Amino acid sequence: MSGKLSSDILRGHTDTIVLASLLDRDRYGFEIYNRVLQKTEKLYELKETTLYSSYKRLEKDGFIESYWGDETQGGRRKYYRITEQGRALYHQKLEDYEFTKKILERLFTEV
Amino acid sequence: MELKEFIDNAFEKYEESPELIDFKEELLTNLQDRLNSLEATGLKRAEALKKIEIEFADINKIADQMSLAKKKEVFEIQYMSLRHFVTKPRAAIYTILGVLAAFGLISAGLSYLASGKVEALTGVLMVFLAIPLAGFVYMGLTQETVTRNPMRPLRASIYAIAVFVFLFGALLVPLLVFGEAKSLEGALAILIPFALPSIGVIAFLIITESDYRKSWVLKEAEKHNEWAKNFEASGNAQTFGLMTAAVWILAIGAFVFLLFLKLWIFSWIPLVVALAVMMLLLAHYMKKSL
Repeated sequence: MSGKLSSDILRGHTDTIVLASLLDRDRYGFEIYNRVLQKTEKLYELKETTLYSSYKRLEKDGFIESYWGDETQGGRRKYYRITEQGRALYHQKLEDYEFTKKILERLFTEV
Repeated sequence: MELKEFIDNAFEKYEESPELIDFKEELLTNLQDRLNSLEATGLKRAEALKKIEIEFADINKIADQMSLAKKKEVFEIQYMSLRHFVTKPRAAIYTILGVLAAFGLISAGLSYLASGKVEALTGVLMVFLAIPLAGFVYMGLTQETVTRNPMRPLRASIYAIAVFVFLFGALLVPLLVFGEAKSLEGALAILIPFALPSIGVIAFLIITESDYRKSWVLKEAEKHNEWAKNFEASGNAQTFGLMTAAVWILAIGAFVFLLFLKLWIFSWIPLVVALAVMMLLLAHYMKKSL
C-alpha cells in the first residue's frame, strides 16, 4: 500500500469498528484494540481513549453489553458482547458506508 | 511509574464512584496486557510504560465524561440497579424450571397418595426435583446481579451436575429401603458412589472460588465493615471457624450414628443443636470483636 490511512475517516467509524470486532465472539478492551492494530497492519493506532468512549457510548445505548471475565490470576477483564440491536446497527452502518463509498467514488473521478 | 499508580494518578482529582472504580479495574487489566505485548516486541519495561503514558495522555477525557455523574453517586447506584440482568431467555428458563419443580412436587404427592408407597414419591422426585434444582443452581450461579458478577458457564455446570448427582443419590436411599426392601445399611452404602464424589467436587469448587462481588461493592464493603476487620484481626474469626467445624463434625457423626441405630425420629436433633450452637458462637464472637 502506498497510500496513507486517513485517521479522520477511521475515527469517524469507531463504533462500527468496535461492533465488527464483536460479531464473531465476545472480546475485552485489549483484544479489540489489538484486532485494530493487526488489521491496519500497524499503520495506524486507533487511540485507546477513543475506543473507551465508544464502548461507554455503545453500552449506554444498548448496542453492546459488558460483563466481567472469570480470570483468577491478576485482575479481571471486562468483556463486551454485541446485542441484537448492535448487530442491526452494524448492518445499517455497513450499508451506509457502501453507499457513501459509491457516492465518493463518483465525486472523486475526474469526468 | 507502575500502571496502577499511573491510573490512580490520572483519576486522582475525580471523586470515586462505582462507575469509575469499575472503569479503573477494566483499564488496569487492559493496560497490563498492552504492556506485556509491548514488552514482547522487545521494548524495555520503562520504555513500554512511557509509551502507554503518552498514548493515554488524554485519559481524563473519559473521566470528564464520567464526572458528569460523579456528583450523583446515588443516581449511579440506581442506574446499576435499573439495568435488568434477568434477560428474557433467562426469565423463560427460570419459569420452566419452576414449573417443572412444581410439577414434580405435585405428581410425587399424587403418586404417593395413590399408591401409598414412599418409593413412588422419591422416584418421581429423583427426576422432577433433582433436575430443576440443578438447573436453578446453574442459573443462579451464572446470573449477573447489581452486586455480583456471573460465574463461568463451565464451572457453574460442574456445580449443577454435582448437585444433581448428590440429590439423585440421596433420594435413591429411601427408594431402595422402601422399594427394594434393602437394609438401611445397604441403602446408605449407595451414598458412597453418589454423595461422596459430589460433595468432594462441590467442596473443591467452593474452596477454589474467587470473589464474584463487583468492585464497587467491595469498595463499599471496605468503608462500612470496619468491625469485620476486627473480627478477622483479633483471631476471633479463626476460632469461630474451628469451633463451628468441630460442632458440625460432631453433629453429622451423631446423625449418622442415630441412623445406624434406626433411631429415625431422633436423628434430626444433633443437626438442630449444632445450628443453635453455631448461632450462639457467632453472637458471642461478634460481640467480642466490637
